[in-house]
Amino acid sequence: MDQQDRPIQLEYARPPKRMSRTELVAITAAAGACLAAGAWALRPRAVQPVMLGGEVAPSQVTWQKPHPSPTTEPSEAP
Amino acid sequence: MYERYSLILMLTHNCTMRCDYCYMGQKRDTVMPEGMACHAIDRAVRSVSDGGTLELGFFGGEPLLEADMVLDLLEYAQHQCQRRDQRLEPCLTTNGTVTDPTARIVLSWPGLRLAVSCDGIAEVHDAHRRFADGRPSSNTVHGTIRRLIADKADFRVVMVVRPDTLHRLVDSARMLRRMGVRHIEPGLDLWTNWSESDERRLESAIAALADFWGEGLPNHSIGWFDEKTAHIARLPIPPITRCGFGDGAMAVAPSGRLYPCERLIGEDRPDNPMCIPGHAAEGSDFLHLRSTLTREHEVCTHCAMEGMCNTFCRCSNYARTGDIRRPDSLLCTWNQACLAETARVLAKVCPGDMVAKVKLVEPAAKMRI
Repeated sequence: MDQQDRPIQLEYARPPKRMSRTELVAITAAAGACLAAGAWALRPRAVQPVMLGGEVAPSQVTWQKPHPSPTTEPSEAP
Repeated sequence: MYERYSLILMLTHNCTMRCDYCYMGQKRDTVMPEGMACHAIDRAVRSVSDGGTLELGFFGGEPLLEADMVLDLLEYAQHQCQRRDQRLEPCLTTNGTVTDPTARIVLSWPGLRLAVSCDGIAEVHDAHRRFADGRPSSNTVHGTIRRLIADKADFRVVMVVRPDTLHRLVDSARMLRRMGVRHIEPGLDLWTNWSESDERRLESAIAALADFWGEGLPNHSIGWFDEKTAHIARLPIPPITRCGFGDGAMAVAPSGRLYPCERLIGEDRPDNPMCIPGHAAEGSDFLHLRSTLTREHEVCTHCAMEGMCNTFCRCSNYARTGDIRRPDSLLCTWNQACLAETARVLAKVCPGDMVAKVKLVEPAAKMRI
């Protein structure tokens, strides 16, 4: 399809949606608490940038086995 | 000087395929002169401090149509970086249909970060990704993926997600995983219409895909959820220089025109408002090209998710709203659903009683989110 046929989507772009702090806490609380407690079967260890031409740059997470202590903070990137 | 600089070279407007959702415009046999590409590399190298990192990306069109030039440029960049004790991180995005011997040498280049575009199962892939003569391409692309897996190559598969393919998203991801693909990077087609109903379906599809992601941890990754995991886990996220939008990142069209992101090149029309003043062949570095464009927007600064969100991707915002600072409902829906489903799946990994205990000793209010 020609680029000219693909105009900016102004005519049908709907307004953005804000998230409240209450919503955010509700969404992430359980997962965040699990992380803080080190209770996972696996834990994220580091995140690496991934470079992709033409796509939103995501990140790739590497994982490790949990620390023995249930109160250990998540480890930092190596 | 930058510690990291990202240079993306769009080597050609030509392509073996005519994907109907391609945002790079009409295909034509226009190729970047190799001398200009070398000069752009020189400028990027001079923009990186000694000991720093140059990210060099090859994009198109289909960059492997110019595989000989890619090899020359990889060797040239390697030499130039070594002279300044810089690290070279090359990357290439291919549609997986060019399989001649030179292309295979490129694909096996040591350290190359490779992305192969494939939308998954044949029904989905062939609906939009066809050769220039109209033939379906899934057989060829799947063959390339199988060969890369047999060669033990480390690569990612980039999947375009559209309203009409949402219902097969998990099927496509499952098929790729069965083939042996370990890293899947879905990406929304931002250049098409997403109705409110489509957004609701997107939320459901993200939920199903998140469950599939959770089943594959830790050996399989899906980009949408990896990044949100990092945010929830409070992992330090390294700077992703290609999002510098002209500041620490530059995309060069075959004509030599400069852009803050390769996604904005399109047909490289002279009147493209996203074009950065200057030319790849003029100048000794890219240091003077500092972006004055901010991503701050009132809508985002009042959103609690701002720091965990992908709406910083200014070209995505531009594609949706015409304003690099302003996302739209689709981008917000996508980000919020990815965060919610990532958190849901991660919490599921932890036994329920443990969640309850942890909540008692560490109230959510103390979390740094």
